[in-house]
Parts: sequence; C-alpha cells; structure tokens
Amino acid sequence: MREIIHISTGQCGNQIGAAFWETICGEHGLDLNGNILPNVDPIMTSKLNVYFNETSSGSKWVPRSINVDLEPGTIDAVRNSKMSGLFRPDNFIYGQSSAGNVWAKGHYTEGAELVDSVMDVIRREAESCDRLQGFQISHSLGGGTGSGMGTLLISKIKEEFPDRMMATFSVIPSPKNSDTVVEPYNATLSMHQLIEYASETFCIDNEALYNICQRTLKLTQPSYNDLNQLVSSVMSGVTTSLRYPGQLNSDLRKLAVNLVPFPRLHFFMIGYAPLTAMNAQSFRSLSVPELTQQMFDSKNMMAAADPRNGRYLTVAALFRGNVSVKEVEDEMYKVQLRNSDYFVEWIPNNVQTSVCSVPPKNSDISATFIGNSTSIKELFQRIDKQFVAMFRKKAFLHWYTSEGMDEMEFTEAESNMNDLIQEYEQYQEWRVDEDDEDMDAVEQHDYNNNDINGDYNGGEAVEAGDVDADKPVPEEF
Amino acid sequence: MAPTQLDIKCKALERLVKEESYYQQELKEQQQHVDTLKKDTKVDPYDLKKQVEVLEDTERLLPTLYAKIREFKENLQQYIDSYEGEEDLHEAKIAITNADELLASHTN
Repeated sequence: MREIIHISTGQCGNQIGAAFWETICGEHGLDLNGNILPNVDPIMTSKLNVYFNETSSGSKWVPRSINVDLEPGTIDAVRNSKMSGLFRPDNFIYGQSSAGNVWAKGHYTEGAELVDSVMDVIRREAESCDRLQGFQISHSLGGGTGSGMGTLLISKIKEEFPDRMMATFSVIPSPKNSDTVVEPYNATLSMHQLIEYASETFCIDNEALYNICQRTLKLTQPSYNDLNQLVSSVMSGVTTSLRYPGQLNSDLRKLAVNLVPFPRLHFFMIGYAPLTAMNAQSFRSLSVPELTQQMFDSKNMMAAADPRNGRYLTVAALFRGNVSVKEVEDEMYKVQLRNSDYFVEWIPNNVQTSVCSVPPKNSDISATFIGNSTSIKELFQRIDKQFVAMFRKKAFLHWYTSEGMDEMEFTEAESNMNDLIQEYEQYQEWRVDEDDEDMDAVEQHDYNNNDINGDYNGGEAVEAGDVDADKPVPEEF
Repeated sequence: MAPTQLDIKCKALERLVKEESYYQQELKEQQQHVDTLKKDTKVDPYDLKKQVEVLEDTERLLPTLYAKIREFKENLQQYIDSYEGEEDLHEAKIAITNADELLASHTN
C-alpha cells in the first residue's frame, strides 16, 4: 500500500500532531488504543495502512508517527494522555535541553545532535513500508525546534529519499498570538528551506486561526486548544482523499501533479466549512450551496490573506457526507462562472471537486478547500516586513551568531522569500490574451549552490516562457 | 547507519520503478471499476463521471513519473560511470537495466 510516515516536531508540531491522530482514529473506526471498533463500515478501514502499521498479531493498528522534540515536556504530555496506548514507545525521541525559540539551536546545534537518532527511526519505518509514498511533518515556523530542527529533518530526509514526496503542515506565526519576538527570523529561515525541499506545504496561519476564533466562533480569548481544534479539522479535511478509496488526489504525488504548476509555488491556502467551536455540534446541517459559499469565503481560510487580492492557479475542493455529486458539481461550476477572473485562464480545468461519503466527526456534511492562490504571498509579505524591521537594526542577531550562524544566511533566506513573493505576483499578472512577446518571463530564483545532491525539487524550475499558454502541463517535481 | 550515495541513488530508482507498477495496477483496477459502473443502468451518471476522473488522475500522473524515472536513472548512470569506490555496482546496474526496459516499453 501507499504508506505515509508522519513526523511531529516541537511543541506546536506535537500538539497538532496528537490532535490529528486523535481525529483520524475516530474517522477510521479505531479507539484510542488502536483497536478496531465493532461494526465499522469497511470503507473506513480499507486504506488504514496509509497512516497506520498493523501489529503482527493483526489486532491493533499503530500510527506510523515519529514524535520529536528537544525537551521532554510536550511528548510527556502526549504519553500521559488518553492516547498513551496508541503510539509506538520507541518512536518518541526527545532531548533534555531546549531550542529556546532560536532556529539556529534547532537547526545547527542542539537539533543537529539529536537528528541522527531520528533518522535511524525514520529509516526503520521506511524499510518496513511496502510502497512508501512520502512523508508529512507537522511543525510551527515561529519557534526553535519545529522550525529549526523540523527543516533540518526535512533536508536530511530529502537527501536520503530524494524521490519521495515531502508534505508539510506548517504553522505560520502571528504577532496576535506570539511566544517570542524572534518569530519572523525563525519563519524566514524556515521558509528558505521549505521553498527548496518541500513538495507541498499546507499553510496554517496563526493569525487566521485567531481571527476565526474571535470573529466567527466568538471566543474572545482563544486558547491553544481552540486553535488546535481548528487545525485538526482542516488536517483531517485535506488528508481525506489520501485516507478513503475512490478519490481524486488519492496520494501525495497526484496532489502535487494537480496542484503545483511550478515547483517553488507549493504553498497552499486551506479552508474548512462549517466552522464550529470545540465540543459544539453545528446547530443545523448546511446545504451544499451554503457550504460552497463558505468554503470560498476568506473568513473560512486558515491563511490571513484575501483570495480576492490574487488569483487561483489551482484548486481542489472536497465535500464529505451524504451529498449529491450533481449538486456539488453544479454549485462549484456556478462559483467558477461568477468568479472567473479569480481563476487563471491559462490552466484549464484547474478546479477539481470530489466527494467522500464518510462525514467528519462533528457535522453531517463538510467541505475542505485546498487552493494554490497567488494571494498567499500576503503571509510572506507580512513576515518579511517584521523581519526587515528587526534585521535592519540587527536586533537579537547575537542569539543566532553565537550558535555559529552567519548574517549572510539571513540575507539569503530573506532574498529567497522575496523572490517567491515576486514569482507569485508575476504569475498573478499573467494573461493569455497578452501578446507573447510582451509577456515578461517570470524571473526565476538564482539557485546558486542550493543544489543538494539528488534534490530534484530545486534547480530546474519551469521557465515561465516555456509554458504553452494553450496547453500548460502541470509540472511535478 | 547512514546509507552511501550509491545506496541512496540506487534505492530511489528502484522505488520509482516499483511505484510505476503500482500505478499500472491501479489503472487496471480503476478501468475495470469504471467498466462495471457503465454496465449498471442504476448508477448515477455523476458518480460514473467522478470515477472516470479518478482514472484520468492516474493517467495524468504517469508521464511525470516516467520523466522522473529517466532523471534518476541518468543521475545514477553518471554516478557509477565516474565511481571509484569499493562498493559493488551490481545492484545499481540491474536497477538501470530495469528502468531502461520500463522506459523503452512506455515512452516514444
């Protein structure tokens, strides 16, 4: 089968990772010890081995999850939670120090000391897979461990498994819900790595989560639990097509072929409807038209960027529950017709719709949205602005240089992120009706010496001018 | 133990070739599924349409996979051409032969 190896790194990564596993156990008829509950619909268990290993006795399913942190606290909490019997004990790997919210410690010093023992476990898991499709990692970009060590792991995995897919669930920091002043540094340094090594990144923007809690769910002081509840809904949503049979985008490679027209532009805006507060059932079932409308609404996006300030390169929408395929198709068609200017015309059929009959836990029907929108650049512009403000004064830089980092790496990371922003802007302005001669070729990032052996993600981006406007072939990496 | 460069490149190519056979199998099964649905007059035409799209999803992927197999094969070939170490190159050569045969039968 097509196995995925999941890696949680850092405090945030482990918390949202745990929430993800709890949610998908419920959606596949498993109790929190990994036992199959009686009378479970076979559709729920038919693709269990994408995320779970079956024990040799065949009685229990164990998450193919590796939990990594530089300090023991969060992992201890997971081990002592109601899920204590779920995970494989020797897949918990943690240090006794801390990255202290400094990317350099996670990437170069503290994290580098722990990384080999993590790679050993990853190799062991990979060897027991029949047809490994790839990896997924949950982490935040603002702290030290998830961002620094998380991206170190990503680059190490890409080095050793250059042909496998790398998906990331990356939490983007926001000053509205901030742990530390150096978040913009950590996020920019992480982005530099994600641009080069990740195949697909699901952006989970803390700013948007915070806004959703306050404005839609009316929680004045949202807790991390409230935010994590939202994250687990959307993580369950975007992985639905991987977990149930008969779906479009049924694996990470297909998802990339369909959604990533240019290798560097793999940062997805994700959305979910209906949005409900923790432990609350929605009061009534929504109709398909209501779900469709909400799903495309910027208020339902887990990224604080307005899609109406950009254009969609590609979109995948997934409805769950007992809905009519015809009604879904009709509604989706109407949205595209009414908003045709917001979808690039040079990728025909760039909206895919699918339906999965298994509903999520807390509502009868739901919709998940994955969009490759050029407006995602607003997130990176926000981080860049905060980065520049501090970097200009070289504030807090000694936290990094004392770990052996050079200022140059900051400059390079920022310039790579800026190039990404510009690429989004240029593709956004692209129109087929313009004369080919006048069409500015999108300037590509200079991939100087980033070419780590076997990394086919970078180094060979599609030349914008080479894309035939009539027949663009989505490039896979 | 960290694997060597040769190991990494060889395993990557082997995995890709194996993955292709999985997609061929998937294609065959999905085609049969679609054929069965077509014969069933009670099937909602929209459900059938979706399953045809699922079939096309795999068809669309295959060319990108062949391109990738070619890339990794050439990379491994170059590596062993200039290789001066002690490791046995037998497995790598078999992997390249298998990839060549696969590409010859599915491209052009």
